[in-house]
Amino acid sequence: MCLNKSVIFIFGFLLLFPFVKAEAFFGNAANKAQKNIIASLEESYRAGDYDGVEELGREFLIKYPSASKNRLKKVYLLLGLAYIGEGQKDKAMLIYNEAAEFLPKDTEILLALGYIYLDGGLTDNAKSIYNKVLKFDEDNKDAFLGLARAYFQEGFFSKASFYFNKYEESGAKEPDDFLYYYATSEYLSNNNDTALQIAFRSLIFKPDADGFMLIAKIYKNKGDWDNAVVYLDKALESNPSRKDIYMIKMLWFAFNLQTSDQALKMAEEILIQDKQDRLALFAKYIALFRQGRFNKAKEQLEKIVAQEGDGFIERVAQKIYGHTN
Amino acid sequence: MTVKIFSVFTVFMLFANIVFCGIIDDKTEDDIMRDFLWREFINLPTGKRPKIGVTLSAGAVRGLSHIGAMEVIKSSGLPIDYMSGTSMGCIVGSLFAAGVSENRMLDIVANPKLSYLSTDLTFVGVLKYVFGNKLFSSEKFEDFIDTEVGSVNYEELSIPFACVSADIKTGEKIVFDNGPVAIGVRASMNLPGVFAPVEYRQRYLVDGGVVDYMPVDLVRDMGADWVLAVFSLADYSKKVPATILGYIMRTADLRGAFLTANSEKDANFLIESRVGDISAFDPRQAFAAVEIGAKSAYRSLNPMKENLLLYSVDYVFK
Repeated sequence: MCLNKSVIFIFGFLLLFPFVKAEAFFGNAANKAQKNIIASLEESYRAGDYDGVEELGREFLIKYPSASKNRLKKVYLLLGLAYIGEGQKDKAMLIYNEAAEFLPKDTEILLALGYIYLDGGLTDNAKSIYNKVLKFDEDNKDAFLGLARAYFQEGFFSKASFYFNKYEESGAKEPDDFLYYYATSEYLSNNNDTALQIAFRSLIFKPDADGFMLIAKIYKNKGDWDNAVVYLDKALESNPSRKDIYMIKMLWFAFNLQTSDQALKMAEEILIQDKQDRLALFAKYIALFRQGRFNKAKEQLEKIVAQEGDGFIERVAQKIYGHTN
Repeated sequence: MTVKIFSVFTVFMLFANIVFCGIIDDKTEDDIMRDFLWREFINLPTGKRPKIGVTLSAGAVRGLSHIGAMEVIKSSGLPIDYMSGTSMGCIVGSLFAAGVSENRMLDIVANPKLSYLSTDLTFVGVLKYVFGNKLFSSEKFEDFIDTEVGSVNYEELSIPFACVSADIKTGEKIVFDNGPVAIGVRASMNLPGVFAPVEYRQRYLVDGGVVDYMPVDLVRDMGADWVLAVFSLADYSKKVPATILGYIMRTADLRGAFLTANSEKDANFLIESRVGDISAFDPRQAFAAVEIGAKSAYRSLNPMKENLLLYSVDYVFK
């Protein structure tokens, strides 16, 4: 009996051996082929060859649908990034959705999907994805940041601040602008003191015109005119080409009698380049009005009204002009 | 060496600078002008600007969208001189007028309890309702309001507030703008056919939505020059009601839509919170309603600011 068993075993082994070897061989070959495709994918992505990434990625997904999760993830993420690189965000959304079906618990895939939803303004979908990530990983800092951004986009600033705060508490420092948005969120919630503290912290990482401008606005909200002007000037020094900041300064100065002369000069500088500039004309109107030069002020309104536009500036000018006649 | 270009960090960095596009950057001259005038406007002393009123519509659970909307409106800095509301609009309005924090309101929304409404909402109570024709009592709701707002009178609220209920016996609109807050709020949300009428000063009071779904007129009567109406707009075309309660609520919705069509014309600006097919009685959807309210209000914020600024232009440039 024993002998028979051994004979059968040996016979069976010898019979199956070539197949086992073949499986191992083909398995190794497939493994090698997968590795090669992924290496080529990465190379193509680095070289900016997005068509190449798409071709290789699609080939991989068709040939190896049962590849390891890590490999599938790599391919999906690269494919999505390539689509984004090509500006085809709809396709990126589809590929990340497909990936999320295959790998429903993979937080990296879910985060990528969340980002693409956010980028498309689909904040509800993004929030749902980030909340899903938090179910698998309750301290996932990227999900906190994603939720903060989603709520920020929706204008739900107290919720945005809540998640920005959680993100900061997690020790995260990147990206360098998140504190700026956190501070903005607090500023837009009218929490000026908190906003100011965070805005100063954000300057450490991102000392740019936006950061200085935000501080200037917060100071102005708090009624601290002197500091507001200091930081407004810092914003302009930091980026003198920012016309929007120049315009804001012109309006602020126009409304204040003491600085209205300076506002008039600023407005003239713009009007030399473009005599139709509505905002400069309006700033001039305000400054002249403040100085009691009503006829001169009215002339500026006339120039705006004559443009017959339907923007907000024109509508305000028309309304005031209608009342002054 | 393999470069880990697939890491989340890479993906994140790629998106980091694009998700805020259009929110803060790329301001037009009109945007700069609006933001500037708005800041000037909201800092005007009370007597030197028009009086502003906000009214909140009815809407049961859907009306919780008002919490999100009010959060956004409050963040904008809009000064509010008067408020009015009906039913859920009355509940949210009273909490807001009393200065209850938005976080507290969200806590309530996150942990809704039937016991806030009535002690009858038990198995026995439901049996009595179905077989004994006995309506639920909403008396317990007064305790809830007293706990949240404090046992105060309307005159003591931080923002002058009034709400509406209806006398089921005479069909009259009953306005609560003085006396204890709790009884008025209870009467305003007292859904007929579900809760027994509130007996108060020889009146039999039911939900104000029966007569005035969104009381624009009320806040005008209080003294508001410019009125912002916030309406919780349901889309009931998708579902046919399947329960008695569903039919009662649908009837209230239809009547509400009819009444609102008239009152919204009297408002200066209308924010519509499109709550879709969120169920009027499903507390699990409460937070979704809040979020819709916030989003809707935020989308309407710039047009609202422009509307008010154009209305107030003479005050700003005085």
